[in-house]
Amino acid sequence: MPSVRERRSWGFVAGLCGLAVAGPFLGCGPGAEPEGNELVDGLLERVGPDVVLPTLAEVEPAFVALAQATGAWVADPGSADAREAAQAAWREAMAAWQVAEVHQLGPAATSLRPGGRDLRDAIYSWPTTSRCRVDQATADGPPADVAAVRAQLVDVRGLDALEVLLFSPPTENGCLPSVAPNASGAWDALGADGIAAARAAHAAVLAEDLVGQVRLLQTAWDPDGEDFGALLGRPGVGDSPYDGEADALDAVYAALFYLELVTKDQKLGEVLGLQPCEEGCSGAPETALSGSSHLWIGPNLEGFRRLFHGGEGRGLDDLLDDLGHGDLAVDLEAALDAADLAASALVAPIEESGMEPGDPGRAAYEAVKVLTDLLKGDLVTVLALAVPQEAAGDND
Amino acid sequence: MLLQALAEPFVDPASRTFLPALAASGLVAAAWAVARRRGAVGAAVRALPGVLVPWRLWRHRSSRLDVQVLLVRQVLGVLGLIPALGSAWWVATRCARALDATLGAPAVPDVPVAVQAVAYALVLFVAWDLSRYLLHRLMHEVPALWEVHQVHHSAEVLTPLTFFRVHPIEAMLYELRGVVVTGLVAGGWYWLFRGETGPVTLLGVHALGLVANATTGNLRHSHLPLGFGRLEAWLVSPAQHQLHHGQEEAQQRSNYGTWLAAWDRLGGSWQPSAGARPVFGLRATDRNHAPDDVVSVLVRPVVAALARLGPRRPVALAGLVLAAGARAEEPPEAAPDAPPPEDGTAPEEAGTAPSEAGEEDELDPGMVVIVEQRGGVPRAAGSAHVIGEEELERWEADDIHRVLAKVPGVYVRGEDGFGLRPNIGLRGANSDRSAKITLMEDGILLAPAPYAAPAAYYFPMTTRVVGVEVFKGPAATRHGPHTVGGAINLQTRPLPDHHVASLDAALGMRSSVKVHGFAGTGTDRWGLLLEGVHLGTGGFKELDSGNPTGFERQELMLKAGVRGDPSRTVVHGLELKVGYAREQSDETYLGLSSADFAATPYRRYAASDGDRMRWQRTQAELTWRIRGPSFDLRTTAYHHMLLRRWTKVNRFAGGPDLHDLLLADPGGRAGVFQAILRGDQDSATPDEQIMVGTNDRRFHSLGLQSTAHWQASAGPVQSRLELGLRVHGDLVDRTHTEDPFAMVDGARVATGGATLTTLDVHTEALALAAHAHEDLGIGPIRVLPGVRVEVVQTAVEEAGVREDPTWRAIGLPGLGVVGQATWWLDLFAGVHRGFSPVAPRSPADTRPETSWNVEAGARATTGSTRAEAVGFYVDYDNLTGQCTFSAGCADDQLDAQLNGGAVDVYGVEALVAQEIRLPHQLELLLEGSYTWTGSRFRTGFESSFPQFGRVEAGDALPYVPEHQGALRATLGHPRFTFALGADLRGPMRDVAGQGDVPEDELLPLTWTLDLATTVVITRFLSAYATVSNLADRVNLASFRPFGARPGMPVQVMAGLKLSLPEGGRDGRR
Repeated sequence: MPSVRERRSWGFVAGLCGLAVAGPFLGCGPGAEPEGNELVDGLLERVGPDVVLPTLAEVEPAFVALAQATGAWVADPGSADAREAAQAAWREAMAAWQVAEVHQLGPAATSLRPGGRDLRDAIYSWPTTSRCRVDQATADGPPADVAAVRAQLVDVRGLDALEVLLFSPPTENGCLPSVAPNASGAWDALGADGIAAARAAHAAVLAEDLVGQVRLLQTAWDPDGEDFGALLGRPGVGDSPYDGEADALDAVYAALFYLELVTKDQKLGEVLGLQPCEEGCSGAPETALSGSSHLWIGPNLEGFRRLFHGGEGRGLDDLLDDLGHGDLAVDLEAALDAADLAASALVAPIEESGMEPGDPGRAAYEAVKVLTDLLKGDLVTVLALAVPQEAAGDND
Repeated sequence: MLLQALAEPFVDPASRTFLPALAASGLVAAAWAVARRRGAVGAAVRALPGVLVPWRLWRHRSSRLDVQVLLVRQVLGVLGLIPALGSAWWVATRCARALDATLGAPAVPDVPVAVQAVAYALVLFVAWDLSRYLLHRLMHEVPALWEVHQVHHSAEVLTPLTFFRVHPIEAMLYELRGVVVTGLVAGGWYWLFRGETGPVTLLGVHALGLVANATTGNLRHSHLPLGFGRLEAWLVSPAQHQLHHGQEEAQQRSNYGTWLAAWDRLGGSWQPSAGARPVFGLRATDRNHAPDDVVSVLVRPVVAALARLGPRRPVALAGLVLAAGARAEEPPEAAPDAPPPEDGTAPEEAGTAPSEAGEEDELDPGMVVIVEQRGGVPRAAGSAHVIGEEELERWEADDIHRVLAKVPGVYVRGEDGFGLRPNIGLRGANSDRSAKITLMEDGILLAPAPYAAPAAYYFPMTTRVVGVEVFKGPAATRHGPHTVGGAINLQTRPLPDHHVASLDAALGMRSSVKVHGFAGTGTDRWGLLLEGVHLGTGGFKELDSGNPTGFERQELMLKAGVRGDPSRTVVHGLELKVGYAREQSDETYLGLSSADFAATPYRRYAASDGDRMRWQRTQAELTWRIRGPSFDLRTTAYHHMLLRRWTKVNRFAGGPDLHDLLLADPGGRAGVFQAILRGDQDSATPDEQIMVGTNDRRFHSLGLQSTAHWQASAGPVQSRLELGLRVHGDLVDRTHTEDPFAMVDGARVATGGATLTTLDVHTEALALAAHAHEDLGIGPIRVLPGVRVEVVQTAVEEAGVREDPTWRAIGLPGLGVVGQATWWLDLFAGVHRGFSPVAPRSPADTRPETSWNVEAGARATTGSTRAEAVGFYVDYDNLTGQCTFSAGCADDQLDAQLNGGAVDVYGVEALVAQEIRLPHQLELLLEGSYTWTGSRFRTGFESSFPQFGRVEAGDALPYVPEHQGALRATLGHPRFTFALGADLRGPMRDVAGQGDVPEDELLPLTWTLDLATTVVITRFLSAYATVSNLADRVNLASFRPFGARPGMPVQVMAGLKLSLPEGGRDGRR
């Protein structure tokens, strides 16, 4: 027969159980702590609206301005001022786009990746660039319209092709004497004025295509358009090309890794000779014709910063804070600031910036390397480490 | 949430009282009860209820308090009043990062993954157990902690629920212990091995812990005095823990350990149970709370503990407050599996029917048969098929794929369209280069190096083959080394015992030429045969340049033999077979993009113009046979050599892998590289250079193989014992180089750049194989047990560095049963162990491919009807992918095998054949076969084998169609035959997966119609014509290795055959 104390004890237990049942309805008890999945999903679903779309919103007017400037050049192809204005507009457009270079996920990414539609390549396909082929296309007669441009391969259109048209020496082309348009004499037949006019017309239609391409990309991410951000934010659901959070987070990480593979290795390391240039590596600087290779490191870092911070919203830094690794976020931030500083010290094309200790080129390379080493090391540890579950023992 | 929390202790595998663990403990208790009564099962059964569900214990007030404490703890958790004191994951990541920062990231030790998993599990187990011991000891020796720990010790009776009778503060301390220990060990392990593997787990929980809990864990809190005897010196028994729960202080200060006794022994607290029956609980004067009041249990110990702390009380209170506010960070479940991918390339050995292996056919003493037949019907305890010379000649098929299409359970993957380099699989075994089946010619391994490099880089010309035996399942014990899927034996023309001669010449579309002749003579004492084949074609694929895409191949075979007097009791025979073969083919691995395949499926890209294969092979075999009244022995010494050199497009210097490139959309940078392959655009940058590789290989294999049979009978019992022994050695030298080319004006042009050596490796193998197989017949029942042993040593020397040899040995049992149910119906079943050895150069963690194969079926045969149905199930412990270029692998993975884990393959094979006699000497033969196959990976994993990729549990195997079938109709007459055949193969996947198949991975349904007709003009002369792919279907054969590849379009051949009439065309009398 239970004692009085025991009966009171059961009453206490019953009361607690009742509180546990009623609590949620009364607003008592802890709210559900966001679990790992929810933290990641919260990050993923903001990539579109907080990072990609705002960046594209800066790219689009720059491309429009470029289209206007090249249009003005078409009107007066012999004008040095018009050409220089177009060149300046190209630099502005490139600077805006180089921020988006670090956001190659989803529709911008290669079609070999989930959700990829090669839209980045259609805007800027470096290092797959062919100066000679651009000049061949110019000599053949530039594409009549945007539709004709889009029927061509990506190495003869986009910002890289525009660089060829805007910055090539006035009467020179990038082809060997033994191939067209030199071998056929078509180039010489154009004459200086003809070359300028052809290049201006070619540039104008390519710039018009660029505006269309960036708008395609905007539509792909726009919540009122194709809303790719929703597919990224809800991986494994519906039409999402990502099988799960791991795939989606992998895509974000791969985008950030542009800084390692392209900015550090291809743009800085291989050009400066600080990294071995093996088969398939040209060691050639980016945008050599315009002598502007040093101008794009900073925008790449800005693109990284936006994706890392999540723009004005929730980013990887917030995720690291929530996971108790805010110090890593701080370290990444500090490395990013240092890399920014080093990039701003680049005042000459990278190939002229020097590889010796103390040279701006080397300093920029090493600063970016500090950042990417954290990316490859600590960040992977935090995101990839899994802990085994212990079976219960006595007194647990 | 409350219900979930209340159910959790019984449904969480990590919980001590996980229901299956409780049940397992119950079984142990029952076994103990029986053992205790010295096997008196009846008495034990009667005592069981008292042992398992001691009602008096469950009714006790102490047990009721156990339940109250459990409820309170769970409810407090739901209400968020029991804070988590940290996250093991956070500790682990901090630890790993700190180690990285101070010591740097180490080179990952080369330890097999399985060893890592076991070691990790052991380290965790020991660390956890030691930390529990230390904390438990502190709970007893620190007065303030003892006040809290009393709650657990005040239990007057022990049941499994006493496990939960723990004050929440103590539970938090134990949790903190777990967080720290797990975090430090996991962090250190990750730093060392970079997360290559986790510990061995069961149901997601540490395996050792789960097993320990399930076996004796729940008996620790029970009244079953289960001791371990001498074993208590190593493992803490339930009786020892019950001693710890005694009222006496000396008892309470003993046996603190959970599982390992080592800590108690070192700490001087070890006590054997020695039959002790302690009184449980605490005396009233020793406890600080009321035994029947849960509020007292929660509050009084805290008060007492604080009182014990004295001046340290504020610190303790602060700790409690901090703990209350603590929040644990948990990792995201989503995480990148590895640092992101870089742009670039992907990482880079006849049908023998069941029956006695190597047995000579009674009708054809010269031929080695693997499928014993009676009346043309296989007698195997499993699926077996024979395609005889008549059928081979009817179809004049030169492509082994077309020959095997009618055999159920055979999966083929086309590549060049001619069958020059077949990809054949059986029962789900990977089909690449037929590396997973045992291929033989006349019972001798025919792959160039079946152990050192299992892929069948050579395959005999089907034209000179007179029989094909396909044996699946129970062949395992007699044919190896690859015994998982089965075996295929190709039979060559036997020595004649009279004059024979034949000449067959045919011409066909696309400059196709075939000339096949043989001539021989002999008696019953000697024989001589010479046979030669020339086959050539201009090819059916088109290069823009108009260069040929076909091949030329010649094979010569010479046989000579002598036999003893056949009238003697024991007859000896000696036979020599030598052969020479060579081939030049303008073949490539480069396929097409999906768009180009749809538009021009028989196009070849300009980048492949110049790809060429050349090889030559020699073979020599000397066979000595002895036949007696009840025994025979066949011993063959053999040596084969193959020199092979293939120059072909490998990759771009930069840019994406060719396979991925050709399946990508043509937009973007991929479109530029595709344009270069087509010749539409020149290579403009270094990464657009085309790397053309030359694979120079030399293969040798030699061995000595003996097979003996003894027959005996006693009354209704008949025995046929087969013993086999083979000593075999083989080697392969590979020197692979690459040269850079550029596409210029639509032509592939050498740039003059440096030649890269991409592979320089020597691999060799020495193998001993032995088998014993018995065919025991008792009346209508035959029992066929067998066993095979393979001992294999492999060695690799790469770039001048010789690795230590690797040894592996395995025994493979098998058992088959055949029963003659009626005169027309046989039933059979078999089970056996399948095996495929690990190829050299495989990753260190690669395990051999092993399986258990089960099949059962029925075979019905009447005079004119034959039907067979077989159900099979292959339980792969580990299915491996064989890395070849044709599979899409790169140099550094070549011939490596990669684990695929546990896989199920199951299905049904069926065939039916009906002969119908018609007027006017006409005969109609109708045949049909069908195979249904299902497959399923049982676990998920990430693999570098291109056809596996990221595998999820439930994924189906690639290149194994769910449905395939064949129909044949042959109208025969002494003066002509007319045959029509249809083959159908259902859709297949290019990559393992489940559900809808992505378009770039889907090989759609294919079907072909073939036609063959022969007209006998005179006794010596006949004319024939064949039409392959009569409907000229465009069939997508494969996406491997690089892009879409078509099967052969319509092909018409017509020829004449001239032969000596006596004995027909097969050399037999």
